Amino acid sequence: MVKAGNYDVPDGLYYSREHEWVKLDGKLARVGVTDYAQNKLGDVVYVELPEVGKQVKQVTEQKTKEMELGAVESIKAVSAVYSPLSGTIKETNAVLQERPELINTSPYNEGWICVLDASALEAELKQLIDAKAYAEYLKKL
Amino acid sequence: MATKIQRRAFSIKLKHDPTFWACYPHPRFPTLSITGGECVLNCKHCGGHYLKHMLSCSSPSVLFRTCLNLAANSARGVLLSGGYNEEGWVPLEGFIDTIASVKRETGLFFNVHTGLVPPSLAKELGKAGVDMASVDLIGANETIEHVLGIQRTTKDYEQTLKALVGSIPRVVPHICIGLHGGQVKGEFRALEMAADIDIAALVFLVLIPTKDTAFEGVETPTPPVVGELIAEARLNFPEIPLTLGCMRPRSEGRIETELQALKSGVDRIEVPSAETIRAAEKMGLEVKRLNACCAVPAEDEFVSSVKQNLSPS
Repeated sequence: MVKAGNYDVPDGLYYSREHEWVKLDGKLARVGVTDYAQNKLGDVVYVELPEVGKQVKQVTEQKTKEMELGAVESIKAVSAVYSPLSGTIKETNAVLQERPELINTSPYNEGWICVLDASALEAELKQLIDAKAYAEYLKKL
Repeated sequence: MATKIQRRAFSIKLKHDPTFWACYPHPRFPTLSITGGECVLNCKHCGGHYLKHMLSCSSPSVLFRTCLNLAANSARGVLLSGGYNEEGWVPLEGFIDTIASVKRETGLFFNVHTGLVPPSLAKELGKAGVDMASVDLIGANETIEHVLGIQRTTKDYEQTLKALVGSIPRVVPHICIGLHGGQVKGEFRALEMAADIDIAALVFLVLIPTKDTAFEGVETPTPPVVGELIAEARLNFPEIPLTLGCMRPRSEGRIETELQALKSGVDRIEVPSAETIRAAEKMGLEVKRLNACCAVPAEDEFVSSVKQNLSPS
């Protein structure tokens, strides 16, 4: 586990600069938002999940709807969750509909958002960063 | 289907101001706590839970630095909050000079959660330049005792409101529907109490059965109950902005509650659903975005009139 200030940044995951994490199992990528993101959001009260079968594109600087996995809503904010990889949604964490607070209490485990079947994994992984690099990135924010 | 009272309420709304404000405080209007995560009362509906994610500013110097930093990073205002002391007010006494300094240095809009502040503190807040006071309004003595656990009465709330109105430019009572463990007790009485005072807006909240509090698992008021109270308010306050605030359940019944509020002539909703925005347009309302807490006046610095800016921030 790497620490960036008060924020946890587990090893073995890939990270986007939009504060999503990716855990790979072959071509299947489990995705959630990071400890930093949940802390900045505050109390999460609603999670809009993507539909299974939806195709998403990897997030770039010019963000579009096709890059959105859904949204996370806190008491005073609503923030889009962007897809760290292109692919097709295979599974979503339906428990979040009843217990959105899992994003706050367990961002890297029970608070996962979806699993997607990555369509361009090898090329797109280059856009993601590892735990050490993400921790450094957070220190500069 | 709208009820008869809702139809009357909505026609008043349309006649007076056919604008619907979708309000998004993040990131231009952050919330700060002057007590960090601490609250002496730990009321049954909150237990200090909602302080945890506020920016902690538990000393005047931290408040000063935080506000200057926020102002330099595009914030236009702050909601200054915190836990209650044993008397039921947010202990702002030690922060008066700092608020005045921040106002001078930055011009940030100050919306302050007060609680049952004494008249002397209300005056000091006004002199420091506080722009708006947000104050809970409870209309039943048994709810004050049952939920807050303090020996205060509705008369204390009336006196605090009067003191604030005499000291601060905008005073906005907040009525939490279902505060009495999910039951409606003093909410209609609270409307009567507000009617006697020159308020700038009226905010409705709905009890959230928050995990790890005494009210975890209680039933919240149904959407029609929320609609009925807002419609009653619309009839009694035709020209005062009515808003559905951020503290309300967002999962089950969320959209129906927002739609009931719309049908009842609400003017603003904080972080409304996309469905609600679409419904407002269909109902003939002009939808605009306010980048601030829902009771803040719709002045230019907080407003986005561009339609594409209605998407989430």
